[in-house]
Amino acid sequence: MTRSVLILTAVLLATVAGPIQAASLENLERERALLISTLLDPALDAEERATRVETARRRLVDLEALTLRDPTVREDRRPIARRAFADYDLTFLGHASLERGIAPIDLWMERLGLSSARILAARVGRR
Amino acid sequence: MRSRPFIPILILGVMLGLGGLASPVAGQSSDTDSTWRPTATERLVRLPAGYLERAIEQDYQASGLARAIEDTGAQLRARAVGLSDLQALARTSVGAARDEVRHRALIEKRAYVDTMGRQLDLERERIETRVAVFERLLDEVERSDAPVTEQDQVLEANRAAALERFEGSRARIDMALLEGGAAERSTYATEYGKHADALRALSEAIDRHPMNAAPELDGKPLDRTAHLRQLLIAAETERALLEQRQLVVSYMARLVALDAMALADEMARREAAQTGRPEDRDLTLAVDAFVN
Repeated sequence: MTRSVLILTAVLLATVAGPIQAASLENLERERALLISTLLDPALDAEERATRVETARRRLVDLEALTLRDPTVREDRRPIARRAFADYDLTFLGHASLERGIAPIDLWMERLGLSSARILAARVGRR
Repeated sequence: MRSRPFIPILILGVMLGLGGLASPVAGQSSDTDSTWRPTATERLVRLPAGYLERAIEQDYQASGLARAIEDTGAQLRARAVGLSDLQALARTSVGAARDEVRHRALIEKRAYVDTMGRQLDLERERIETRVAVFERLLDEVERSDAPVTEQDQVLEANRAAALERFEGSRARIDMALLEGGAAERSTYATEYGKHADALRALSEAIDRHPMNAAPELDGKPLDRTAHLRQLLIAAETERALLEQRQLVVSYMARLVALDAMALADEMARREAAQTGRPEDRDLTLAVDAFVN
């Protein structure tokens, strides 16, 4: 009896004590991609886009706060974490755009170096 | 004196057998598997520091080595009882029976020393396996805890800066959301928040759990690395004590050999006195005829 309890304990500890894989950054990435695709979707009219963007932005802001407070994210050393924390404005787009008082799409394009002038000056070519 | 012709053979046997003790009897064959192959260190390293030693002990208890040590211990206890009975019998016996008992006691002593040598070999295997496990765990922990590369330092700095910026702008962002008419939290965030609260509560319960308590030294909690170093020091101390025990056994073996030599010598002298040289006997007998 004691022996089987000990074996069970060892098995449970070995199973449960494994590291929890942080998934918050991936969720954040998905949420941000959703907001950007809504912002860039040519099929939406202005009113519908505004409604959808507002909902997606609110969700993104909440998720960003949760991600920043998530203890597993604080211990995450994967390349995705390095990339995410290297650029606060891009990763935490909701917070950064509200902080700076500009639209998320403007901030996103600015961080990617996409200005009207540069887009107009761009030419199609082979790399 | 039926056993007398066997005396030199027995004594030779005792001494030859004890001679083998100079090199421990690790090579003794056994029908049972007397090995201990501990659980993979990758699994052990995830256990709470306080539970680690118990887990290793449980793993050892389930091994063939633990059973072999237990069996040898039982044999030693039985031999010690037999030896003590023979010694009591030797004190009350006389003549040839006493010699016979002393021979048997010598053989029994030799077997005891043999078994003790085997026991110490198994103990050494146990201690060395423990030392190897602790060393591997220490390597593993030091590798995983190391504050690492330049890239990691950059990540830590960026993470700290992100948190500081987030905390610094929270009030402003809340106000901006209120002004924008988005006071309500999203459903996703509400659910996520509930789970995060549950996780926090569970995590605190795990931290408070007595089985998860950090081990202490002189009233101060030890971290995993320091705890492993303590365990390693304890195992090394055990190894030093084992070496002393092996020295004790080698002295016991030498004493049995000396006892065997003394017994052989005593019996040879007694036999010589009883038989003597014929010319000496005849001369002594003739003296009476001259004196009277």
